[in-house]
Amino acid sequence: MVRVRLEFSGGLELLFGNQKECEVDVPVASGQQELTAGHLILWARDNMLQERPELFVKGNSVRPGILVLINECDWELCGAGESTISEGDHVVFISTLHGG
Amino acid sequence: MPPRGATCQHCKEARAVLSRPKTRENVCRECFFAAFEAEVHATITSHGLFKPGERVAVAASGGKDSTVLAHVMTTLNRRHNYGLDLLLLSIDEGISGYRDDSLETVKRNEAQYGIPLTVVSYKQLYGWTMDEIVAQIGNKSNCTFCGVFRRQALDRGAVLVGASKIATGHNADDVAETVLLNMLRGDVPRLGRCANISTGEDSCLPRVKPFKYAYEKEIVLYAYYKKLDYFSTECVYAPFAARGFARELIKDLEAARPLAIVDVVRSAEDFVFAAAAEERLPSPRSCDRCGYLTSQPVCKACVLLEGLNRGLPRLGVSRTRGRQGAPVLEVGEGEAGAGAGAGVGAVPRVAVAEPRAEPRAKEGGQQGGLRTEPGGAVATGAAT
Amino acid sequence: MVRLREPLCQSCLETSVSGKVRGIKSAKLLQPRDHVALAFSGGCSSAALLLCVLPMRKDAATPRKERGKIEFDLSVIHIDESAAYGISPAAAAAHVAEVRALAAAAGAVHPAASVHVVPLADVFLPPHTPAPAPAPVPTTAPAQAPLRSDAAAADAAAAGAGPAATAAAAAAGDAAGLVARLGLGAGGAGAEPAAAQGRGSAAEGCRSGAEEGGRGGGGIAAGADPDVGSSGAAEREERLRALLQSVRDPTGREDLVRALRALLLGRSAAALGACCLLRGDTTSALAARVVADTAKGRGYALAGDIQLVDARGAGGGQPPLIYPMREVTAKEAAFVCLLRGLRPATLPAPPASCRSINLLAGEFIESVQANVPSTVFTVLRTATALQPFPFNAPEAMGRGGPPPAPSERPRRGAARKQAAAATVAEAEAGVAEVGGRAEAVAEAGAEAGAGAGADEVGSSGSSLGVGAGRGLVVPPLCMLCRAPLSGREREAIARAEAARAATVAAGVGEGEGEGEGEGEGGGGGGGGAGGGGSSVLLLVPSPDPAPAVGCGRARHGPGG
Repeated sequence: MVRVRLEFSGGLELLFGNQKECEVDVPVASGQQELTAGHLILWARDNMLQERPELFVKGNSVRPGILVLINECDWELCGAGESTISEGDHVVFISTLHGG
Repeated sequence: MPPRGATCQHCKEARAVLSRPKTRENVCRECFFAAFEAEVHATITSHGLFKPGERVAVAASGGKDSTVLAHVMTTLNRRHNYGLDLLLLSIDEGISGYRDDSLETVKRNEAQYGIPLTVVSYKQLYGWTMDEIVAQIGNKSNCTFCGVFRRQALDRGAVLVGASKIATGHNADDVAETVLLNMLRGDVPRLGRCANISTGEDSCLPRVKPFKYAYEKEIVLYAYYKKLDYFSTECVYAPFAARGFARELIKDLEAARPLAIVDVVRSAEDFVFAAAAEERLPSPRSCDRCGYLTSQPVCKACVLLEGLNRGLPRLGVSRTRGRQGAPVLEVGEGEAGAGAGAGVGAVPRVAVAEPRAEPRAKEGGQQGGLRTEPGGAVATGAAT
Repeated sequence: MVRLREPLCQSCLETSVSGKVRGIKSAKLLQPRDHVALAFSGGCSSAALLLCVLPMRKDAATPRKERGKIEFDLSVIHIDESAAYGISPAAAAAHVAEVRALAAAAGAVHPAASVHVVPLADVFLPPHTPAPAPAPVPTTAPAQAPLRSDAAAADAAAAGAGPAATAAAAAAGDAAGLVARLGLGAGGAGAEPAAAQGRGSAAEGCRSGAEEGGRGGGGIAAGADPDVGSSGAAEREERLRALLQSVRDPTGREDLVRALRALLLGRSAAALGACCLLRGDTTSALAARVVADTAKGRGYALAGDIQLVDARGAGGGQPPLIYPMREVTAKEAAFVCLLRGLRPATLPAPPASCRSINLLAGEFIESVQANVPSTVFTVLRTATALQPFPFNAPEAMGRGGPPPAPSERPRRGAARKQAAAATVAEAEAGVAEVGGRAEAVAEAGAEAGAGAGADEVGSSGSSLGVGAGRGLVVPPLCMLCRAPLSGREREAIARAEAARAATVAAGVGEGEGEGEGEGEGGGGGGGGAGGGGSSVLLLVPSPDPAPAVGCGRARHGPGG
């Protein structure tokens, strides 16, 4: 189990029962040593998402247009879906798809 | 938390926090701010978007784009001595639960950036709030009303506060999306000008897009890292109204090659249409009722208003095809898309009464001889 | 088949498709005693094109009074790209056999036509300069034979002075330029410092491209030795693989293969003495190209890429391209093949790990097309409204009279550098710039193209028909001739409709799945109006289906 602080914003919170922030314990995927961001996304979809999964994920990753920050850092810099998530990490999902 | 990821490629010191989509550079927070602002500054100066002393209305919805725009414009105006007289202009459509909250955001922005805010309401301009309109017409076509009314409302509001220019928060993703939509609709005249950084140059109230080359991703991250206060709920009446279809492609393209978004914008700038396409542009004139710039005797807002006031809300809604907004996803409208490019869109399909008022929305419109009390002017027209 | 929701019987479909292809004859693009080359990929479109072109040909066996037929020689050229995808020699040979069988089944047999298969790696062979006398046309041997035996060109290139050398350098520059340009986007999703590496690989590409040019020159001299043939082929294949591997961006790699293919097709056609090269690109393919080119920043060059005639290669000895299938949809082409019992021979290419811009554009067009059958025509027509280049004029084909003089085409924005070298430099500088980007070398080439004032060429009437209403259930009559549809025709329609329905259904409410383009499918689903919903981030719960439909209709509201 890895304890992660999750944050949803930019309208994504509405898909997650209107909660903006939460702390969750995420199990490491079987056969894996560490928790990856990709697995975290699928876990969040299966365990936290309340409606319309297609607005959050596409294929095995987030929909294009949703930004992911791991400890305030663009996940593209740490390997996107392959990024390792450690105990206490702060993961933020921001949708860019809402109005502006 | 130990620092992770790469080092900033600019300052070579701090930890990089994002990969810039345009350049694929990894930059730290401060270098990102600096680069983002410098690029907007470059866009503004290289296109000569503003003149010193100009009174510029920043269209403020409370959303991410306009909030970042207000912030960046304030910052740059101070830093580079643009000498602009900035003000925030907000439109209150009268949608409870949506606009109420976002207007609160805009009011906080007024205090944060120290620039005055003016709120113009639909009720004030047209005598109807969106809630009232929806109550009358139901959920169909409400975006048509809102879009038409908002476009005019910004212009009217700007004139009301004495601004000579409107700055909007349209970003590169928005422009790219519009380019693709116009392509799908076969709207050659609009395709030819939708990528212009400034619309309505020949009129007294142009609109400019300082974020035309700015990626949505960077705008959102800018707001996030700057902890800017913005509002991010979609309009309650428009859950499906976003132009999601082309949007989806844009985001997929960005994932495949980040440069693609700006490349779409650049492509559209490079489009050179044969002269025939330009000739089909309707010549602008003033609306007989409210004086707003239009291609028709009566502008679309007045047609819609008349429908509302006469209890015929479908007036002006059901027969817009082709040129103005071919229903991209409607089946069986053989002519809708294909014909439009060849000018079929110019022939309105009359679905309801009142065949005279052809409802083509104007682009980059503004009002030549707008009277100073726009609300009154419209109300007069609508009351007939 | 169903075109724009009208059912057609086989004969009306074939009449309609071949009528459009025949347009090239009425437009005088095809003339008696021409030697015509046809690019044959083995796909439906080129097979349908071949099916349509063959009956236009008149030979000794044709009854004298048969109308509408003219005398011309036809060479079918297939580029064997198996080496580019690392396909086993056995599979590659099987594929080539399949392609040959397909061409034969379509009627491309002696004396009606000759079929030539050219390996893609032959692009590294020196280009052939068009000989004043017609080149000998081999009936079975691949086109490389005349290329290699052209000793005069070889000498000229080896000396580094002749026109061939110039062309070789240009070709190398072409490839290098492409690599350079593509290097920009080649960072991939990895965590490497992509910008720097992208530039690095671009520079490398240039260097290797230049070397290629040099080696190409050297290779020709050796080319006279018949021994070098086989070992040379292996070396070329290796070089091709290395070149492709240096491009990490999948879009870039695809574009590079396309560019090499186009180059080799043109050269092979020229070597065979063909006066033009017919390409099978359908309306659907061209519409996808419009979107893809736009997304690659090729807005300026786009106008030249999608016209009926593209004679920009004329200066470099390449025959003009003609797109006779321009008004035919991919679906029509597929049905023509299906009803004639022809199965397309496609290369068993390994699936790309990341979706390219080309693929995305194709899927996008396809999914919109599934809902609005006029989409491809709309998109192509819109792009056709762009001012074409002088080289798009039929006169640019160089028939009767000297080639027209180069003329300036108006352009928005700053003047562009035309030299390939400058473009590459620009590309590198562009990385640092705000929104910097590079133009394809092809575009520079395009600007150098010659021609006179042109207008869009003979686009015959649109094939748009009257919308035949919604909710189609396999109708029993052909829309045009009112003949009852045969069981096979009905079956084909039903199968296609079922496949479409499945795609659409899969798109709606798609949660995960590896399916390609489920997003677009979703947008296209639901028979139109409400379907866009799933491709939009829905932020407010709205379980009521009524507003969904309404807003689909109203989507143009805020878009205005």
